[in-house]
Amino acid sequence: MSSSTPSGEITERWDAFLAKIKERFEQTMSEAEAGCAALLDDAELDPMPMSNAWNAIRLQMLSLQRKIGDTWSEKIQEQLYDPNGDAKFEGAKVDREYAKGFALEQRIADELQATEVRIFGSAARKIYEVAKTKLEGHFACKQCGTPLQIPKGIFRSIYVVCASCAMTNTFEPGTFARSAEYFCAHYLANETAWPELKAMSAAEFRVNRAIDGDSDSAGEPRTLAMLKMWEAATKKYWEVYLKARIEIIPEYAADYDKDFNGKMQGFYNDVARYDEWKSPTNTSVNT
Amino acid sequence: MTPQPSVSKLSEAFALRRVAVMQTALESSAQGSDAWNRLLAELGLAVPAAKVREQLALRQPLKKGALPVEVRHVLERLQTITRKTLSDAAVGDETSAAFEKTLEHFVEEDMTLYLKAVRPAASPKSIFATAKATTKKYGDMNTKAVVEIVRCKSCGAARPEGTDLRVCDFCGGNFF
Repeated sequence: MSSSTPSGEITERWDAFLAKIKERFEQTMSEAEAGCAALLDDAELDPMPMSNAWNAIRLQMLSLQRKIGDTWSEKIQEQLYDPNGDAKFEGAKVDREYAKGFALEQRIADELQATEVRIFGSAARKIYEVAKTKLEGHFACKQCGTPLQIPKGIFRSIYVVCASCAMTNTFEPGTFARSAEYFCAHYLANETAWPELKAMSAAEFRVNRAIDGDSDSAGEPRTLAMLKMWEAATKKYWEVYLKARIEIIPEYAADYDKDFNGKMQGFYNDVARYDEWKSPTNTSVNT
Repeated sequence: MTPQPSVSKLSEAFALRRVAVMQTALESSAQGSDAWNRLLAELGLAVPAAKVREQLALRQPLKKGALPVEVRHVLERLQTITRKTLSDAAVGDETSAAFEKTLEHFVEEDMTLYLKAVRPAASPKSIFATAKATTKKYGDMNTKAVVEIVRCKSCGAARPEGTDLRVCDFCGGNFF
């Protein structure tokens, strides 16, 4: 007896499994954000314990995400296809069941990324505000006591020459202020560039899922236009990110072109593996 | 003279036994089960008192299965018995060498899989507690911004502008 639709039992089991995954994920995420914020406060704004905890949670959720694909491959798929590989049910109906799992995988990936940007952005903002206050003091030459002019937006150890006695003083900003450069600058810039980060991730994902142009498999074929969209989204992200970083560390402006080209070179190294990128119609200078 | 079983038959019997041990362990609980207790007795292992099991269970929460320490004892006993049987069969060929290698490693392999199956996933609460307890502190986050002059330890001269001298060029003393 054949059916055009996967049996109720199969779809019920699959739906129940996905519902459990979704519940576990949502519960963990609801605790993660508040828990990380509390851990940061508890550690007197040292971001290390919070980073370690988030990393453990993230790995756990990625493992949860993998279970979706594994369960589909190992338990559900075998019931939807006969031993010859022919679908027992209407292809569109099977695709719909697959799409449910895929949609949840995507949601987990997107929310993990969004939550990470929020958690670390929020932490960076808290730390940055305190770091700035640490640099608002009056600093005087150790030799003659004349007030020293410490440049703004410097969060590392620098030499400052006294205008009165010409003595070289070493300005040490302290641990908090140093964290403004090694921690805050990146996460605040990432938060500012969040829409561009999302767009870049989506473009990259589309390219990764696309199939080779000459493949017989079902799916969206990869095209040069798709790769160019990924390139454009990547350029936009790095532009916004690097400029946001300069707002915090002004001296980074001097290296903007070098930094931007360096980041884009990483992209060009990656995209070079696709034959479509090497098309003679590609006018990008990096092919 | 009773003929000794072949290595392949020994290996087959061992594989079945190994699967049965893990199955029985997983279907049991920290307090044990009839089937699990029977297995312990068959292998000549003492069945722990209920109170002992209770105290161990408090220390290591499990989602299911027999206590890991009991599972290890069972696997080690199975290893000993099987090694003796293999040795009595007195076979020294390639097949027995491969089987011996399996016997050498299977206890740790099975324990790793078993622990993965029975340990509950860490909750966010326990992850935060672990992160707080185990992150090393490499420095005090509250050190202040300060200005210092690097001076020679011998003559007190300040380190000249634009240099990274480690040795004073006035008296030869060290800056650091």
